[in-house]
Formats: sequence, C-alpha cells, structure tokens
Amino acid sequence: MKTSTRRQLRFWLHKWHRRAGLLAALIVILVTLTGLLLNHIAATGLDRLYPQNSLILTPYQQALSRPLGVALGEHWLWSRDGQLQLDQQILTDCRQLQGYARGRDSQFVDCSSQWLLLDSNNQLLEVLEPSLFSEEPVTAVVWQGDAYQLQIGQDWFALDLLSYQLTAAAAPAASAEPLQVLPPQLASARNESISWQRVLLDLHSGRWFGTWGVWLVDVAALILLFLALSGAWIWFSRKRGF
Amino acid sequence: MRLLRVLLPLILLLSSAVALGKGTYLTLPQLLNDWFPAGQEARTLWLSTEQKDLAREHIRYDLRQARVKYWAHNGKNLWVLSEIGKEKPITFAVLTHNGVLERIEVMVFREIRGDEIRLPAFTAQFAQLKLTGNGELSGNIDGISGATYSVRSMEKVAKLALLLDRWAATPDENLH
Repeated sequence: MKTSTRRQLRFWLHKWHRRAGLLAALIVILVTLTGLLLNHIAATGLDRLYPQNSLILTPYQQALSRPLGVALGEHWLWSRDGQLQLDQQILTDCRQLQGYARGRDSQFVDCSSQWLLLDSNNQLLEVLEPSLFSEEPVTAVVWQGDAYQLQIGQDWFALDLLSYQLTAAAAPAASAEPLQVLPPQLASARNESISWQRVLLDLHSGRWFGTWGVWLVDVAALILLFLALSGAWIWFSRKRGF
Repeated sequence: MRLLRVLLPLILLLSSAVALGKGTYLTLPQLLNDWFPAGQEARTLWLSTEQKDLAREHIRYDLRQARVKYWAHNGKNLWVLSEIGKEKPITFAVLTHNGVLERIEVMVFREIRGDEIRLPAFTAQFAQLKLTGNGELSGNIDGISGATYSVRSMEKVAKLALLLDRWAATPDENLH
C-alpha cells in the first residue's frame, strides 16, 4: 500500500475511532459496570437479593408470581426470606419450600438445602442434611406405607429415619402434595425469583431492553472490536513512521 | 514475551480465585465403615428446652430442633452436624468418646474458599480436646488466614458435639 493511502486510511480510522468510541461509550459503561458486579456476585450477595422496584421488574411481569405454599386446612405453610412460616408465624429456617408430606405423626418439609421434620404441632423435630442421602435434589415427597418416599430423578426411595438410609421403592400410589399459589391476603406479589444477578445479566447482555437491546449490545461489541483493531492499526502505523 | 510476563501472573491470580474446595469429601456410609468397622447403632438424643437454653448460654449455639441423630458403638459417638461458614453450611463429622473429641472431618464443603480446614494438619489440632467449664475448647486452635469463618464453624461444631456427647452419656442431667 502506498504511503499516502496509508496516511489517508490512518486519518480516516482516527476520525472514526473517536466517533465510534463516543457512540459505544454508553453501552460500554453499562456493560462494564454490570460485568464488574457480576464478577463479584458472591461477595456482594446480589445473587440472593431480589429487587422489588416495579420499574426494574418491568420486563419480568410474566415470570413474577405470588409465593407458593402448602394448604394445611385453613392454614398455609410457606417460606419467605429464608424462614418457614405457618401463615404469618415464623417456625424455623427454610431457604425455600420445595416439597411437603404429612406422615402419621410428623411432617416432612423439603427446604432445598435442608430437610425438616416437624411434629404435628409444627414444632421442629429434626434437621436432616440432604447430602447425606443423595447428591441430587428431591423432586417429590409422599407418605406411604409408614415411610416418607422421595423421588430423586426418575426413581423412588423410602427414607428410613432410624438408619438414615434410602432404599429403592416402587412409585407410590399417592401423589405429592402440590404447592399452590398463596391467597392474596397472605402474601402480595413479592419478587422472590428474579435476583439482582438475573437483572444484571440481562442488563449486561441487553436482554433487559428486549430484542433491540440485544442487537444494540451486539453493535456495541462490534464497535469495540473495531476500536481495538483501528487503535492497534493507528498505533503500529505511527511507530513504523507512515 | 513481555505480554506473557504480564498475562501469566494475571491468569494465575484469577485461577486461584476459582472455587476448588467445594465438594463432598466423605459420605455417611464411608464414615460408618471407617470409624465403626465393628458396626454401630443409630440413636436419637432428645433435647429438652433446658438443654437448648444451656447450649445457647454455654456455647452460644442456637439449637432449634427437638432431637439429634447420632451413631454409637463402645462409648464412641459420631455426630453429623452442619454449620454456616461464611455463607453456606459446612457439614462436619465429629467422633467423641467420654467427653473427648477424637476426630473431626469435613464431610461436605460448599463455600468458595476456606476449605483448608479439612486438611489433616488442621483437624489434628482438635484431637483430644474437651469442653471446659466456661464453654470453650480445652486447647488453642491456630487459625488459617482466609478461612476465618470456616475455622469458627469447625470450633462451634466441635463444642456442640462435645456438649451433645455429655448429654448422650447422661441424658437426664444438665451441665449445672
């Protein structure tokens, strides 16, 4: 390439390098800030915090729903903010209620990271460590034949509370107690599913702004690529004295 | 070459931050086989309200459940207890015998860092410790920098196991 052509190209690149930098600045600031926060998500605890602001939650209206719980006669057993509640009464710690079964004189509550055994008066009897029984999560629990039966993956197991062992069992005839949407008087539509981590991820990728947002971030990424290449070209062409 | 000199330490620094310590190190059947080769009996220790109050006052442990499961043979008791480290629970196995802690091991570690507490050189410090009258361990435990919360959890669980061991030996008595 002739020296004059190279100079022209460098001039053109220099001009568009600045313009492109300005054009992408806003998106780059957004992507950088969200990226930094995402990199330190565990330290900041944003993966366990849930925004309640309606503006922030605008894109998630379909996904938001009222909390789920188990109907126990006139009362509801449910979890909120890491606590197991009977209506508004806090019973004990429970990360998230995922399953429930009533036994003969006890109740089994699957709280994801812990299994709880309650007596018939809702007093905590025992805390069971799920990892002692299975690496995989329980997908359903029922009471049948004097034992709690747990579904793990596609298979069913009977839980022996004396020996702390799971033994293979046939699929029970009874079906698992379904989790139901809580009545509005008990819990308003509170966001417990869309964490700050999800919001930051969607802002980072542009999904928060819809389909156009993703394209916008794509364009910003291409502009960044252009900036890197044009910047390198300008730098090296100067060093070589064009 | 210069680029490599800059990037290499950066890559090493970033890779050190990756959570390598998470995992299940011991399962219950493994423990029962290793620690009770001659067999054992699964038992339940029922806790009274007074005992729960005592645990809160004596070792600052909030016991909420009514009973604790343990495994016993020839006076040795195995306690499987979980305690929050910094953010997530760490599951420990503690072997006690007549008020003395014989072994403590990490069964499941879920935290991002601090898994150095499972190293034998660290757990060995707990061997032969007892619970003192003022609710402390009878020996000093050297901490690990960067694993402060995990170390604290292990100490807390060790104290609880020793207290439970005392109650298991004399179920009708308290520490008064």
